[in-house]
Amino acid sequence: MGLITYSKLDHDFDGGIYLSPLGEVPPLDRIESVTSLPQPSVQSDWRPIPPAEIAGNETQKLAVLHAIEQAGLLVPDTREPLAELLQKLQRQNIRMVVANATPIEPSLNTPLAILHCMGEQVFAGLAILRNWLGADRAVMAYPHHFTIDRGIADKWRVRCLPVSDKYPQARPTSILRTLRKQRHLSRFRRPERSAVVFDMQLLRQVERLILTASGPTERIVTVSGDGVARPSHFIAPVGLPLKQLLERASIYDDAQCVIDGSSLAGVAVDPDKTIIGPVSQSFTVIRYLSRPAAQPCIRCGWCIDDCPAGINPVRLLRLYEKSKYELAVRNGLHKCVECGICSYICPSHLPIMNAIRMMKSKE
Amino acid sequence: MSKSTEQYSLPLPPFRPSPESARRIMRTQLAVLTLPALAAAILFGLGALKLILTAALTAMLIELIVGRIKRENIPGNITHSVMMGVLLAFTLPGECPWYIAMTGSAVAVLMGKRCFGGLGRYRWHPALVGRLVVQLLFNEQIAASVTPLQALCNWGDLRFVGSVPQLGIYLYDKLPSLQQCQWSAVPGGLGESCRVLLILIGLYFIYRGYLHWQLPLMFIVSTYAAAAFFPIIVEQPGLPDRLIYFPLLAESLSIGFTYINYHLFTGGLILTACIMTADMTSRPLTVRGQIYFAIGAGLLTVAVRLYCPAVLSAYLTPISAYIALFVMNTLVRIFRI
Repeated sequence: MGLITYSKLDHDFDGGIYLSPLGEVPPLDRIESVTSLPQPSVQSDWRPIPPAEIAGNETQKLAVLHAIEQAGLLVPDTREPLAELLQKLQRQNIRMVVANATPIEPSLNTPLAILHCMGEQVFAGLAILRNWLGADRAVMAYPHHFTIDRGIADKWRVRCLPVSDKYPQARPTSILRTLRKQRHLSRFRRPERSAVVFDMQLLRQVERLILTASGPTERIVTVSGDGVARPSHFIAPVGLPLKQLLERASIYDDAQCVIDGSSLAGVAVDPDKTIIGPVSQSFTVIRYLSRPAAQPCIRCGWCIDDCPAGINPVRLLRLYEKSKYELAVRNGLHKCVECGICSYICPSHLPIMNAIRMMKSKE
Repeated sequence: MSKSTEQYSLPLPPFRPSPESARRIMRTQLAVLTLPALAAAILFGLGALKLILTAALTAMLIELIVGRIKRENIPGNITHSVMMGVLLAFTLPGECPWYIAMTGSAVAVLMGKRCFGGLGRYRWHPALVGRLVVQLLFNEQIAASVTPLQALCNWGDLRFVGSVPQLGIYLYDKLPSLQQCQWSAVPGGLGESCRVLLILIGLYFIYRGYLHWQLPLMFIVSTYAAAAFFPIIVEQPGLPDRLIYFPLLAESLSIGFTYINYHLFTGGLILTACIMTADMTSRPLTVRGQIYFAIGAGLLTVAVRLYCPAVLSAYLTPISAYIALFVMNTLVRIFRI
């Protein structure tokens, strides 16, 4: 009957939850190439720019921006072009650039794999962006249980800060809040105003682009979950059918669902019609999918307790049911980071995050 | 199948099973409540167990019938109703007739829960609704024995030497000792007796996340503070003036604190603070709301005990903590806390 035995969920008293790995966790050092494609250069006459030359040199900064714009690098979270983001940030007084190496989930540890196997590239990419933005500090936020090579970090003048890996630490807002709590960011200023968080894969792409003139033609993709026998990290060319990747990871015949992203907030995809895109990073394969039907809310308040954005998710669900979108905006609709904790933790199995997503899409 | 239909047929997140379900919460709470039931059986005899079983079975039967009529099958609903029946029985004294438990249980499920739409929709704690109705209907049968709380609040019996009430005589000679109140059978509700066990269960609920620690703590702290600072008002027969005493100042501090401790360890306070508040539907959603809720309930508990009008005193004083929680349940939806 399952009485009294404690669940796998580990509540944290300062909000947030720790997730147990879903299936086997892919080893960090297993990054392999699925197929090799020629790497096109951005410009035939491109000369690598050492990161130290970028700081304060307007000509070099323009050249870097032009290269990034031409390569079409995208920010994974917002799918916004990196060149546009950099131009926007140039007008702000950015003090700190942050690389976030905390994984989305324990079994989706792509950032750690990149840090483990390609640490030099990531640190160099971070140094390039720090110098471009004229920031004082560059920080690598990594899970405290991970062993980091501090020699490379010192070489690129990047400070390494251990952080907790509670979900959803991989989100930029969460990591900024953590750094603020640890007093690395001012408490009197909004963290988004003085710091910016970059994705690990994006930093690697920047380094490859500026120092080796290689375009963003490949992605490091993690395939994990209890639906694959051999969870792995792959270096996959953009445009590769997802099915090939899943076959390399030995997907089980009875796997029920493939998710782009995490098991809490990802989107289910049809593997036959999906390819590796310019921001693809991780896929979770679920073997046994069971989600009971929704039932009336018992007003436990857990969604409010564990919401990292500090909003009232169940109220937003009520407003969605009544189609009161303007009121929902006033109740913090846009503060929601769509981490999916509310839906996951709900004992009544209410589709809270989906309602929030629907409201955001209708706006 | 069109593309759009195909997209909609894909499952929606989350893709992990929920760590806790409503059914599991109800089952766990009910399983834990068997401990005070066993304690009641040991302390009050097998009659207590019969009373608890009567209330639980009545609640289950009514829930099954209503569920069948309405053709709904919500997981955890029956368990919840059984729990309400058990909680109602916990508030009744051991010598209470079986039909009172049955009536209270039926009222709890039908009036307290089902009239408002069932699990997740009711306004007041169903067991409290049942208890209140039973108190109004069968006051004389229930109030057959004088509880320590009633004795403590029955200030008219106090004899006066000069102007100082002899609180100490009452506390030390006429009432059961505080140790007895904490551990063992004293007159009062079946489930209220073993207060140490109730506190342990409250701690377990906090550990499981069914209860925020702020709620029972603030409830008890506010009751303690109110008992310490609310004055005792004694009507003098034949005289127009009232005598007002502050418990900590009237006699020595040791007597004052003993008096306050009696407020904590008698009546249904601990049962209400640690067990009744674990009902999620009738309490506020947010921690801040729950703190206001607990403070209000604590102050009201002592206010009902000390200042209840004489006409209502026989009805309300024995269930002061339940009345306080009932009133605060009303305020939850009014102020949306």
